[in-house]
Amino acid sequence: MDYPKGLDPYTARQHLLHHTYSPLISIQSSLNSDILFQSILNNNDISTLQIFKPYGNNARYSIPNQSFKITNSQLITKSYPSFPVRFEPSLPELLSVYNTSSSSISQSNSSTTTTTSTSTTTNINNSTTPSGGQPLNQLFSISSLEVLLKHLSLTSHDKELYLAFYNKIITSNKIVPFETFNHPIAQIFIVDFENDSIESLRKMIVEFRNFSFPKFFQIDDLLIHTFILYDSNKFSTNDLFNFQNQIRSTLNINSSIIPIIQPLSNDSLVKLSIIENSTIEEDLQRIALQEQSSNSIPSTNYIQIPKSIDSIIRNKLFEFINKYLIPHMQTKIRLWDDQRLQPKKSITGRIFSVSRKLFNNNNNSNNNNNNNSDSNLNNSSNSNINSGSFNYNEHYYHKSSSEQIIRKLADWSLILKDFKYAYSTYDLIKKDYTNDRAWVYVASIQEMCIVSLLLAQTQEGNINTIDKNTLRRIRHDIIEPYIDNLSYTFKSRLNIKTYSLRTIIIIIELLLCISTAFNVSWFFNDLVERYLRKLIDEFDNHLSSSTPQAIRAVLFERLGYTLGKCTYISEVNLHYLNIDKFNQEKLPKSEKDEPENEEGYYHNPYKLNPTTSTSVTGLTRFRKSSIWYLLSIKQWIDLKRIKQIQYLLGNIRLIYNIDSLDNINNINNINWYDRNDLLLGFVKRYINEYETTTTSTA
Amino acid sequence: MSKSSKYNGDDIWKNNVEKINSELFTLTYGSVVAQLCRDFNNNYHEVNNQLDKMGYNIGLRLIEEFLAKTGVRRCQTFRETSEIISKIGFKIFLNIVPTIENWSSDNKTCSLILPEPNPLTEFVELPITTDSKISKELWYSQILCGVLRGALQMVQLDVDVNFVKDVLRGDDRTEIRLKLNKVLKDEIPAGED
Amino acid sequence: MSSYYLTIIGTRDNPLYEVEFSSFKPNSSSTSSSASASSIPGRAQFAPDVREILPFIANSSLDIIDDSQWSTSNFNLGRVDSFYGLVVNAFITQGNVKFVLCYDNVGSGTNSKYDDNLIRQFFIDVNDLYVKCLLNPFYRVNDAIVSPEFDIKVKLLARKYF
Repeated sequence: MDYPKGLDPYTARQHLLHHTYSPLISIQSSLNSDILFQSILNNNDISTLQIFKPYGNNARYSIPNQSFKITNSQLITKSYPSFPVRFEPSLPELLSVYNTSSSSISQSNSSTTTTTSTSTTTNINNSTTPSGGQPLNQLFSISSLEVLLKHLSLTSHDKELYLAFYNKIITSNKIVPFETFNHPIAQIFIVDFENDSIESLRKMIVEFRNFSFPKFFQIDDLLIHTFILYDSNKFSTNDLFNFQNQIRSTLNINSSIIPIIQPLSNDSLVKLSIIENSTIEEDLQRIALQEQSSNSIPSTNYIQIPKSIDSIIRNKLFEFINKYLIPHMQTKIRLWDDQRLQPKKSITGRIFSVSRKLFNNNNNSNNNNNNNSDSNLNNSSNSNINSGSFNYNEHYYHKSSSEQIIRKLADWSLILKDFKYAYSTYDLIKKDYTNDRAWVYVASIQEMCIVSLLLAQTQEGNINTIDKNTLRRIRHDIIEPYIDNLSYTFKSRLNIKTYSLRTIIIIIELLLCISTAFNVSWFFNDLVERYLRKLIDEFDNHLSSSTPQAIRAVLFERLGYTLGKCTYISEVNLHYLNIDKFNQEKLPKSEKDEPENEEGYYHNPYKLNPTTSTSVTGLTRFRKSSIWYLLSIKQWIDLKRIKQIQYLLGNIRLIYNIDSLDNINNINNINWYDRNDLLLGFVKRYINEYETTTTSTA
Repeated sequence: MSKSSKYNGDDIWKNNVEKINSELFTLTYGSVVAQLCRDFNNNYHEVNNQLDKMGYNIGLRLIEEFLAKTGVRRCQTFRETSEIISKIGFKIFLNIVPTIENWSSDNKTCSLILPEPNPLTEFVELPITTDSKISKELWYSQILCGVLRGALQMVQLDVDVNFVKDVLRGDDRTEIRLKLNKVLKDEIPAGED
Repeated sequence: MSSYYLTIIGTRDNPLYEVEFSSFKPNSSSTSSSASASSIPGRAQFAPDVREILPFIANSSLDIIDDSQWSTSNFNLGRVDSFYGLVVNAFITQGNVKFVLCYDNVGSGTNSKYDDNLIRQFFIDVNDLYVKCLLNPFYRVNDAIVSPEFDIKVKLLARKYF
């Protein structure tokens, strides 16, 4: 049943795993390797990172028969058809672009002020934590998002727009202490064999290592790797083999070799989207650039790469992920599980945590002093017992503290799709955060509890049935209280409400997933509706509510979708919900529909016929859905986005006759909803007018 | 005479008349009228004609019932006839007593003013807003005219009966005009010729 | 001063009758002087962008009405829905015709129980009027109710109750 049309929540779930809960790999390329790519592609503006970035999405840029083997905590190995990663610049660069809390911890205050001004988001970042420590910035800028969405609505249509909106909210490369999804898991150095020496590579690595990383970030967990680019026509693999050995012996890191050959002139080109995983600000910058040079470059959303190089990169990345990245993560997870999680779960661990609670205050003050006076003291001691390791002044847990490591353990196992294990781990560490009153950690962990729980429930192969008690527990014991709590923390305690907006929008999509998976929309529908309206209110508070807003329009659209998909019909009776039947009712009665006048029977034309959809009366919400679509259309009318309107009109065709646009001026034949003073009549006249003006000018 | 007949009217109404639910009566009549309107495609002149014919046929028979129940004797004047119609006829069949006014100088023409509520028109509202013609053309209670004409013809009175005003149309009152043409001399029983 | 929108909806989701009005009683001493100066008593004060969707709000609440009619034997369904600050009460007749009353809950409604009771009474009286209307031989089920008589009587009822 494909009505109303809209973004499939499972697509949203997939994008969530691709764009948010996927490993972040930072890339640092040598100047020579950049030059190599530039010469091959005949494009002087391109960087190695830009070329690699799209390939991170290996669901889209895949190799034949690819499969990624992941072993979970139960030692069950599963294959997945894709395992996307995100390529980003290396950590120092990431930290300097955004004035995240991390930089103010690792560096003195004066040095951070310069980076603040470069960030375009600073105009709304007036947030500070109550203690006056480092500021936590908004996740994204609502007004930038609105500008971007208005721009996108000019060109994209169909379900793309809500997906774009959703993607922009869930995509971020901001590094914060309280979640580790954006902490790089691997750092890849890319060098050119011909022009880069081992010495220059060493220099790069040393420079990188010497960077003063934020204290919540554990550099020892980083998988460091090298990609060596070489021309296979000039050099033999033996040379490379020697070079690799040398790297391993002197620098103690692994490497992969990527043969790059000058493409033949007849080599076909592969189109790559360079807007993969881009953030709002990156998109806006690109759009601004495109507008400046509007005529010279027709489309810069794509780059073209010779097919031979394209397939090499795909294969090498696949190899890297399977051979290095996934095993690295699995090893770390097992290590942390052994060293941190199991002791915590054991009896002694519990006793210890009780005693710690009793002596909490004392330890804390000591620790604070340590941190303030000498920040390196904690740094060096890796084996310290992490009692009271929460830094109250700057609101983070130290990288070596159990709290930080177990959080990372849970995050990584979520990335490896071990959702149940992740959930139990989140749930376990939650109490510690609460005891420490580390509110931002608590809020973030509450978010992840819901997310991992819902991901687990909607995981493929995990779908059997779900009983009402489980549903009730999920909803009343977990989702509702956690959302309330974390919204309060993000919004009121810390003034970073964009984080809670992201959480809510993720939860909405996951709830829609679970609704379709188990046909339980009747159970979650009102909750989803409530959250969507909450989102609308939150965005309205920020943007002017009197002017039309693209954000509001897409949220209205989602409300329409949610209600349109809502049924109270049990699975066995779903076939009664026949959209075609609904449609027939809307059509005017034709002559042949009249029953034939049999001999001796009198046909009373005034008799009321039963509706054809009697069997599902009261079990659908199509009419409710339609009004939200109408409201969305209204926003688009005010913004003059005819494409969006035409698309959305298709989603109200069950309830309102939208085809008879020509009849609207015929007074006798008019439907109530086409009246001049009502919204739909207004919409239809608007479209009519638009169509007549476009045909007359054409 | 007039006093005793009034007494008779009340008495007969109370003791000697089968009564039916007034809503059933009103709705039945209403359906007939509405159906006629539909059948004749809202040609209200034709509807009036049909109602009049139906009434006429009722009147031809109803007079027997009337005479049997009341035992009224031959009237001497048309004035007397009109009294009987109003105080006994309308009383025992519809339980209303129209007033009689507007006598012409020759005593051959008068008006029956039907009191409100008219039992035929309870709940009825003409759809004036959708069909402005209806209030100018349709005489909703036209059947009464037919009844009177038919009944009077059976007692040798050739009378023209027609509505001139109707509250349904927005007039101040409902008025039936009676005009005596002649008294039929020969006693030929009038059939449905 | 609350504004009300009453609509009667036929079995094909088609509105048969609609009327807007507002509470006739001046509801508090502080606002009455300014409100009465600017407005005619009984004139609904919906914002223009609300007015143009009122019938759609009523229409959308039919989903809920259709649903809740199975769960109660009462004809008065009470408060069934709310939409952007507008509360929706509904009543369903034996003939499956629905009365829907949308109103903004400004000012009044400190005692919603009391309000619901008033609305229930109002619906019952409107139902009487509607039944009378049905008895009109010229009226067909699902026709629009255009009788001025009916309109006046509904407005009198509105005046009486709100």
